[in-house]
Amino acid sequence: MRGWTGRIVVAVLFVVVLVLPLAWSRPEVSAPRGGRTLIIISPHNEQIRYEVERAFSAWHAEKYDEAVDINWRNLGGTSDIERILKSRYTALAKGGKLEDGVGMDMVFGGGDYFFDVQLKGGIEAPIVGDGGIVETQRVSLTEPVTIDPAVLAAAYPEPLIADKMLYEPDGHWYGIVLASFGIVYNHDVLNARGLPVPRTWSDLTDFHYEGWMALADPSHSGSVRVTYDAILQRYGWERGMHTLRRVFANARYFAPNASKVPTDVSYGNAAAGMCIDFYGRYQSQKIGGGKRVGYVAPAGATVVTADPIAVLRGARNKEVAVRLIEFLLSVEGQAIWNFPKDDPMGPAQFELRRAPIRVDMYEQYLDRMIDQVNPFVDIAKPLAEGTPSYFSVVPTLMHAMCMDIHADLNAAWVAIERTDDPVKKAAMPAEFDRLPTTDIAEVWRDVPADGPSAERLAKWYDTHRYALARMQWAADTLGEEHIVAACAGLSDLIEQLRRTIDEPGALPTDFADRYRHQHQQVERMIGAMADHERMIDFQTALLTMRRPLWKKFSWAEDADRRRWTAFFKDQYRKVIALSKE
Amino acid sequence: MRANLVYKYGLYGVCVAFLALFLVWPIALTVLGGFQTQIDGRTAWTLRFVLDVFVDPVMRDGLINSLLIACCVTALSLAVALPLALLSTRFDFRGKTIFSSLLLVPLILPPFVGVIGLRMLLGRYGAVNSLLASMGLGDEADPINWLGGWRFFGVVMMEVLHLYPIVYLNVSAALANLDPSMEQAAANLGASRWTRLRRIVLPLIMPGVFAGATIVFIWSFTELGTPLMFDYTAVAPVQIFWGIQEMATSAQPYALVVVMLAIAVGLYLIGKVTIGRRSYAATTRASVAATTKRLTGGKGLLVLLPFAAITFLAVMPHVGVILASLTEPDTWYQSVLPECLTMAHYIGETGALRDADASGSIRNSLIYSVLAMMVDVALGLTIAYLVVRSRVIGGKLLDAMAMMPLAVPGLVIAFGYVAISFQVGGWFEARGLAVPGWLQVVGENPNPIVFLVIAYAVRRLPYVVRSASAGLEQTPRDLEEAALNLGASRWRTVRRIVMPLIMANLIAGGLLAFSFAMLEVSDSLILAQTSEHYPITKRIYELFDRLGDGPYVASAMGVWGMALLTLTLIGASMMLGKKLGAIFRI
Repeated sequence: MRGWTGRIVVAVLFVVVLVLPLAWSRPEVSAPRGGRTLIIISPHNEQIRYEVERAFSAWHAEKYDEAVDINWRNLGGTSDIERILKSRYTALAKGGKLEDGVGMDMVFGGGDYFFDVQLKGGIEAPIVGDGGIVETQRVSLTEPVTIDPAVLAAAYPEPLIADKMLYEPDGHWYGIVLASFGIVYNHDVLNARGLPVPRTWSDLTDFHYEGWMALADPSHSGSVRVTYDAILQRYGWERGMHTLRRVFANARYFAPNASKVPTDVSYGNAAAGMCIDFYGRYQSQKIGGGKRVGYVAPAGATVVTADPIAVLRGARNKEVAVRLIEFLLSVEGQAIWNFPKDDPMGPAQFELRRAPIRVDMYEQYLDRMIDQVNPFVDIAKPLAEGTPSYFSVVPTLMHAMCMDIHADLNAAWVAIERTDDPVKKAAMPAEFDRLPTTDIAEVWRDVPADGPSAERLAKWYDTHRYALARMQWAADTLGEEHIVAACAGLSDLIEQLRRTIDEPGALPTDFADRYRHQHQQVERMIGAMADHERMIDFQTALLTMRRPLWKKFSWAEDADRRRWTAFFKDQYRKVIALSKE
Repeated sequence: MRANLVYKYGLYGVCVAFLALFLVWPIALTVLGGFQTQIDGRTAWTLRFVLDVFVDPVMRDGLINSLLIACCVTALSLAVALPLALLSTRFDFRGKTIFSSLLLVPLILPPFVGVIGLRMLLGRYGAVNSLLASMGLGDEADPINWLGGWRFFGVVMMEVLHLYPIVYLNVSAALANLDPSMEQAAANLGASRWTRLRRIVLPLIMPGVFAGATIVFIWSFTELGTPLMFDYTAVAPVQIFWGIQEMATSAQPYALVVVMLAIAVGLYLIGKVTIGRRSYAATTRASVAATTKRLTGGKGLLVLLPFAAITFLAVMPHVGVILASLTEPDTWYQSVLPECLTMAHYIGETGALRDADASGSIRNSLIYSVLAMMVDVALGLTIAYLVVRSRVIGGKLLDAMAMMPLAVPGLVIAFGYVAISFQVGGWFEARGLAVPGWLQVVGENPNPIVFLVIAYAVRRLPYVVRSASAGLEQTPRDLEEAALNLGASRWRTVRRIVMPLIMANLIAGGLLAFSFAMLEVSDSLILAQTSEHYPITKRIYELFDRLGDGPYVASAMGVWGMALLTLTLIGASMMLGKKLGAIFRI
């Protein structure tokens, strides 16, 4: 009998547990169906999707007397969306059906780089002629649309914030909110460790942050990638690397998800971290009511970028899509992003804590906003002219230099700190801060003698970049006379290159084109070398030129990373050895 | 008779085809993928990617770390479980029944969920450091960095506390089968207690030890969820998980999978040949029940102590999860226990039981797991019946195939399904057809239900086959033969005689398949790519990173899962009694 009671109790409990979430679940909130449906692919979180849909359907119903329903497609982060859209459009292009579209109307959120370079930059679509594929042509995945000029003029009195575009002049994309990047920190931890509140990036290089920095992996998170790029752009190549290397040496570990940074900081597992503005602000308010966690945007040292919306090529609902853009740029549409919940113009359920893009919102409504910061005045500052973007190389470089060999980096950093001998202590940072170089002559020896294989060509192609790198370092470390020598060496090299390119059939067309392009760049570079002021140009070209190679051969990126990793690992060991001498 | 043969081999063919399609094919695709490269649109063979795994310092370290984790976990699990198993077979003491079943609880409480609790307990400003501080220990400016500084050991500890029951069950079963007369003979010949243990008992239970240790080794070598939750990226499974992002372009993750698979299978075979061969167990069978010594008073408590200690340690992270699920956000901070409790993470607007996304994923998981369980029971019963009763030619092969998932990391199979989805998708696209959603993993609008159900089913098939085989071996054939003699058809005999007789085994096997499917991590993380189709594990993983109340709601979902699985285990052990251990054998 007792056995049966037990069994019945277990069975009843089992059923109760099983049924609980099914019976209790809140029915999904959705706008009344029946009207038109707008399909939007977006990495935005549920809170943003909810508020935008609610506000837009209300506005649309009132203005056009017609119900509109937004069907969100949430297919992961920005990089997932890029992959999906590119593969779908490439498949369409092969069938010559690009204008049929992919069944989605708009894409919303992911940062200006994603929209301007990856979506507007688009794909290489084949043009099919009589004899099959004749040539290829770049087509954008976004479709330019024009919006009401009155709305446009009111929304963007200036086309730029600092030097970043707020919208694409042809209408490929329109910025809706602003994003900046900063430091999130925990007051309790800072107090316990005797640290002042950080104001800017270089504050985080303090050794007292050792083991207490929360950082995210730039190869997974687009927002931290922009942050690291911003540091390099603001501080310049050398000081930027100097800062990043130390901050990374202080890191506790590297989270794949950017949201882990504010979480870890708020739990006191880290003293400070780098993240996108609304993550920091949201966590600051949500945990400890602002007293425990703080967020600061380093004035003048961060970047402010637009977070856009765009219409996809072949969208079926262009009319409603344009209305959504116009709504989001209106005062009502802008108010949902930073007004409190109890404000009549604010959001219904979730406070989003994002910065509106209309400058007049700050002029008129700043006192009604939660975050009373005007990015146009308080944060944004144009970059120095000619500042390159390191965006494409940041993940690989940071992996090789800091993340994959973090134990070595950290040990070297600790060794420098713990060394008492002033002579050694002065010598160690120089070793610690070295960056990889390769001797031209050494690489040049590898040039194939008997017809180039693809792999060797790639290596060869690489050679020129090393030649450039060599010149760079000659200039930096040895002085100007060495540049002259290096230039002379490079001229020889270019002569050889030119002969190879011009010799018919020596190279596949694809490579010849690449070389020719690079060749021009090298010549431009030599011109730039003469002008020491423009050295910065040189660095950009140096680094950004890696990207096409990586794109063509995924192993080339691996090879670069591996070579760099070995270099840095060796270097950190040397620093540690110095301390033990 | 001929019709019978047709049925028999027809069923055999169906089973082999299923396993070939959903087990052998994905593994083969993955392995081949590691050796292929695209040059100018043509497929060429290369060893470069596989060699690169050993050249690349990052991947090499990842493999070494994974191996080290697996070795540490296996060694520690043995160290924990062997003495406990010896104690429980040798002695009777107060509380033995309760504690030997409590020992099994960690098995169904996955470390993946436990990590959430552990982070609350072991954070720098978490419960343990606060406890230390309140006792005047520890440095306030530099509290112990348990999770940051000791992630390797954190992963090892979590996995040991999760997996030792597998060793315990296997060793206990081997000890129970031990013929006590062997030991008595040795004792008569003057062997000391230690010599008897070393020379008689250990060699005889070696197959059981090997069986448990192999499962634990392969499990921990390929475990994805635990290191992922610790953000410990320097292990091979996590590198493969992130590598999937570049699936379409790079063969490198495939190559890493190939190396992992080779290591797992290689070690399994080496163990089987060196240790499995030296099996004396088959020669003797316990003819007398082993005598247990009754311990009372102080001695009984002394023996109980290790059981209580291990159980306490093993459920600690899960107690942490339960507390976290009840914590008002931000009030478990610099305090031993949460300062404010709330039910909001369960029943609030965004709570685990009410939120559309969270409860939707619970619903998804239930559907996937029930379907997987049904596939498993049908397939497991058929395979067991064919192998044990029908004695088909090639039965050994079928049995070996069904056991294969034990030696093959779940990650490899999941990865193989992704490769299948690309192949099948390519076939559709080449013909200008739209790829149906249920055949996509990464694509415009994928629905992972088919792949997930099959993945769950294949992964847990061995347990159901073992469970059903054990049942069939223990039921006499006479009853079936009598039914057949009386003119019942084969199908009717199975339905009316066989199934009722082994119902307990089927239910227990099915329930275990169900609970493992509910908390399966690697397949779920890789195969479910769209939010509306997330199973509970992927939702917990995502929620864990949501700002604000995310980790707490994730805990609440974990608690719900733990409650369901605990009830499942209790139900299964009520059905099966002591036979529960038989399922976790290879």
